[in-house]
Amino acid sequence: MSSRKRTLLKVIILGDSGVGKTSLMNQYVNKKFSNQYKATIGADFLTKEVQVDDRLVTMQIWDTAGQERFQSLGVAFYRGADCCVLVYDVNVAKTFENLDNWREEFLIQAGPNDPDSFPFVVLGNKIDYDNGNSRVVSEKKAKSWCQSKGGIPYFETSAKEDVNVESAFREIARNALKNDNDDDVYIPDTVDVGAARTAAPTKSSSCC
Amino acid sequence: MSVLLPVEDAFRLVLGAHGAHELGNGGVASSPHSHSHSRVSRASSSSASASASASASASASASAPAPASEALPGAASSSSSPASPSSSFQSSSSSSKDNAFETLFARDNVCIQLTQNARIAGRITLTRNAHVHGPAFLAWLPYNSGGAAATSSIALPKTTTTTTKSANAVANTAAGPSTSTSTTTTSSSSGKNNKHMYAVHPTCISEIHSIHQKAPPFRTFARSFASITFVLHHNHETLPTFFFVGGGTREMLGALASVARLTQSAEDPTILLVNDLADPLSRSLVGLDLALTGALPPMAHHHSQQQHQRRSVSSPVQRGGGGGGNDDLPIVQGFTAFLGAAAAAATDIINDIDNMFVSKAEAGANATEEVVAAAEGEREEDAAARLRATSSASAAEHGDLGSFVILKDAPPSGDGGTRARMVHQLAMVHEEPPVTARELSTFLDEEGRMCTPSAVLRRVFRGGLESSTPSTSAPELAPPSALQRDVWALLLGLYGDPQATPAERAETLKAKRRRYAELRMQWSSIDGTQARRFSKFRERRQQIDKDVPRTDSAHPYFNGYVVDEAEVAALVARNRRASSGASRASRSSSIEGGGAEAEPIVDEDAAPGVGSYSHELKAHRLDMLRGLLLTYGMYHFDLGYCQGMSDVASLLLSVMDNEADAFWCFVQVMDVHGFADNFLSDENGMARQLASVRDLLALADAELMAHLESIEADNLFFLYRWVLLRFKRELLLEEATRLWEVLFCSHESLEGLDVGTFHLYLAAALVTIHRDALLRAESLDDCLRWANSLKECLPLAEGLRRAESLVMELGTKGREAVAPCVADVDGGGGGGGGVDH
Repeated sequence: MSSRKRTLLKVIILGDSGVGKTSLMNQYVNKKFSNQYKATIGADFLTKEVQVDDRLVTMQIWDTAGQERFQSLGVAFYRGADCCVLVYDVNVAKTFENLDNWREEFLIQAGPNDPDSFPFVVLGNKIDYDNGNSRVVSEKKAKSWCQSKGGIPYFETSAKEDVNVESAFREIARNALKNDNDDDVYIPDTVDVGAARTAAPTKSSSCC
Repeated sequence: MSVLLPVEDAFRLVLGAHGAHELGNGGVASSPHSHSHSRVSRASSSSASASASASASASASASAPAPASEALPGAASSSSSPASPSSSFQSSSSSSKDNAFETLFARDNVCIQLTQNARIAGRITLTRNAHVHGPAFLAWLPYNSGGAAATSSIALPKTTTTTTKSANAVANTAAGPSTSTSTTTTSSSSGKNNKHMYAVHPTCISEIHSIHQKAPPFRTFARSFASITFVLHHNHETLPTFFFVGGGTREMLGALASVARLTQSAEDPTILLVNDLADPLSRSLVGLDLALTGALPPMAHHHSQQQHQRRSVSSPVQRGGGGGGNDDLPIVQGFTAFLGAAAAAATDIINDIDNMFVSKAEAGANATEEVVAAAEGEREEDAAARLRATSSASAAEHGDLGSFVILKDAPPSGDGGTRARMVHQLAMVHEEPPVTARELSTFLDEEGRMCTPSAVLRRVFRGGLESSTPSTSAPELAPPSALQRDVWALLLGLYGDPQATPAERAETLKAKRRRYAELRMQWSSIDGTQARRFSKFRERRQQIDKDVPRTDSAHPYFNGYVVDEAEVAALVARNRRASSGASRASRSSSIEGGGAEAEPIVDEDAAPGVGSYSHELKAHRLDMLRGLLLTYGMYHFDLGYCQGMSDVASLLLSVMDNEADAFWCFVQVMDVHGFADNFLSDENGMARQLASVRDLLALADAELMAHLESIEADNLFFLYRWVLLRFKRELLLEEATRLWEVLFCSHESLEGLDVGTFHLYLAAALVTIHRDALLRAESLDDCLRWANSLKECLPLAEGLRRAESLVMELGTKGREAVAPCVADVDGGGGGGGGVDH
């Protein structure tokens, strides 16, 4: 069994349909943008190894469906999350207004130990669209909402132009790690079913 | 590797003894063509389809018989190439377009005799799946002779992308002059008879026991009335006797000899015993049979037949007995024959492997040693697959559960997941040759009623449709096919009762299109002011607008691909007419706003000489998709729009190529085939279906299910997308289309199966195929990663075979597990209220 210690960070991306969740994830993990992403059905995730300060962590980024209809999946997939990323489209007011719902829904479904201190990060996406002329949610408005929720970090991004994506996810990793610090998950390199099974409950106890 | 049957082992022994030697001699060259010819046919068919729309050629082929015996109808390009009798003999004749099935032999003006004076002319064909070297199929289809049945379309004549005017055209065709064939002499008494009932639908060679030949009665008419009668194993029933008016029996037998071993009966020289080469078991059994029959009679028989034309047929008896031809000892003769048969059987196996390998690797024939060595590895897999296919086919036929072989450890074949590989695999689903427009027309009676719609569904289930069969190259560029549209319309009830007359069907369709226009008006007449006060509609529209352009945005159809540029102009013009009528108020008719000139914009990237992309067409097609979904939102307001619906609609639209028609198919798919269940806001439908898969898995593989439980993955959420969209997202659009065709036909094809449940068996089957991977999974996350990694590389063919055997194996228990989808469509189910938030 390997003695190397790795940390797995589970990050969930939430937000209305079409705000760019899949694009953000792919831009960050694969450095690619496509305008041919289909609407996400169910859930999917990608992983990426990142260096946070002096630690090597594996980020498991979960992309979810934006439409409310598939919420039963949430309970299963949100479990054990270390950070939740809330995304809205700066050009569509409704997507911003819904952030409240997404946040509350997440807290109910994932049921973290300490809801008040659970790390969220808010991303205002699509700032490139129409050169910003179609923008309806101001940075100030978004920031003040984040402040009102206990000082949620806020980033303005463009998945298409790769603006702020890297730094946003760096912050997401840092916040997730903070949440994860208390009880690290031990993941052996070699597959050992017995060990992994005992590790799983430890993991879920971090926030469920 | 998987379970191997003893028979296979036995054959490998035989093969080891004789194989290499026979191969060195060149063996029977029955396959190098399979590769090269597909390229040729691709080239020729592309020009053909560019000049004539699919519909035109389909109906032409169905209604234009050959007046002269040697001249094959040129329009019948769908099933054979023009060829002289001698060239049509060798299997180098063209395949049907890009199908996996190749036509080994086709002959026109082959008649069956009803009474002394009444004869029906038609075409006889011998086809075989080129990719898997599967069994060959014999079919004979009568020519259409006018009357209502003259149209090969089920309801309508094909005006390609028909929207309007079709109903009128139908009437014209139906009343049109009959194009009776010159060879048909229908007596008045048999006028009421529907000659289509005599059609011989594809019959597997392995079902044929023997062939009886009859030479023409008079020497002067030599060959012109030679006939062949096929006797089946089953009760020794016979197919109708085929009279080869223009000759061709010799060529027919030659073609048969390339796929089956023909051996003269010692008792009657005019009888040939048939031994299917693609079926090792029958090969060995009949080989034994041969040896015995060949052993008993005196040698004189054999000598007397040396001069006979049938001598050309390569027979193991003849080959084996060649050396001892002068030996008069019957026992020695018989023994030699037996050895010969065994050696020949071994050769054929080697040849099969050889051919398969050569066609795959394009290796030269001189690389014999390498081929043998390389084939070594492939042999097991191929042979096992073939056996499995054979066993499943026979079990399906006879309802014999005992003969099913469930290969628990069969390896998942999807690894690379390249497009070519996928399409290749899918071709293996087709156990029978695809249904052609001509064959479809034989299911119609004289009045054009479809008497046995379930028979059509069963044929489609096993064979697929000619044009929807994916080709190995760029299947996505194939134009929407008229045949496919027709059959889907039938499957999905667009024409109403299939047993209605064409006129009645046309009336039904007309009414449905009219009704659609009304439904469409319900939202298209909402103006800005009204929309401002109608938030539910606004939100729904917003979601649809978001999803429509990204649904299948990479697919040529939704990028405005068109084969024929003239089609663009016609379509735009037609659309303008339509939108000035019913959908005048549509705010989004981009064609309308697109200006008067219908000039297609040609994309430089388009494949040369094949087609082009038109921005107008793209806008039009997206507009149809949008319109369909918005209309459904009104039609079923409680259910509304939910993500995933656009995927269902896009597939249907790409087949129907007509907004109103696709809409009614959509409604049928939602209501009857259970899709509406998937989108209920309380998610009960999905929960129930996942529970069904869980129950099936518990029955089929309890160990695996227990493991999934232990890692808390027994909710099967990782299969959510599979079930919700019935694998549409996991496959290329063409593959999903073919799969759905299978799903829509499944309840008619598999006994006792309920509508809208076969995909659950398929999901369970695919899971069991990959049990090893899942047994290694340690969490739901691992399972999800596994499921998502299968995207575009599902082992679909294997999955379908396994799913079919699960249906048989689990029987009533399985059917209880998948309890019918009773979508409470009108009430919107348990909580079919809010859609958006």
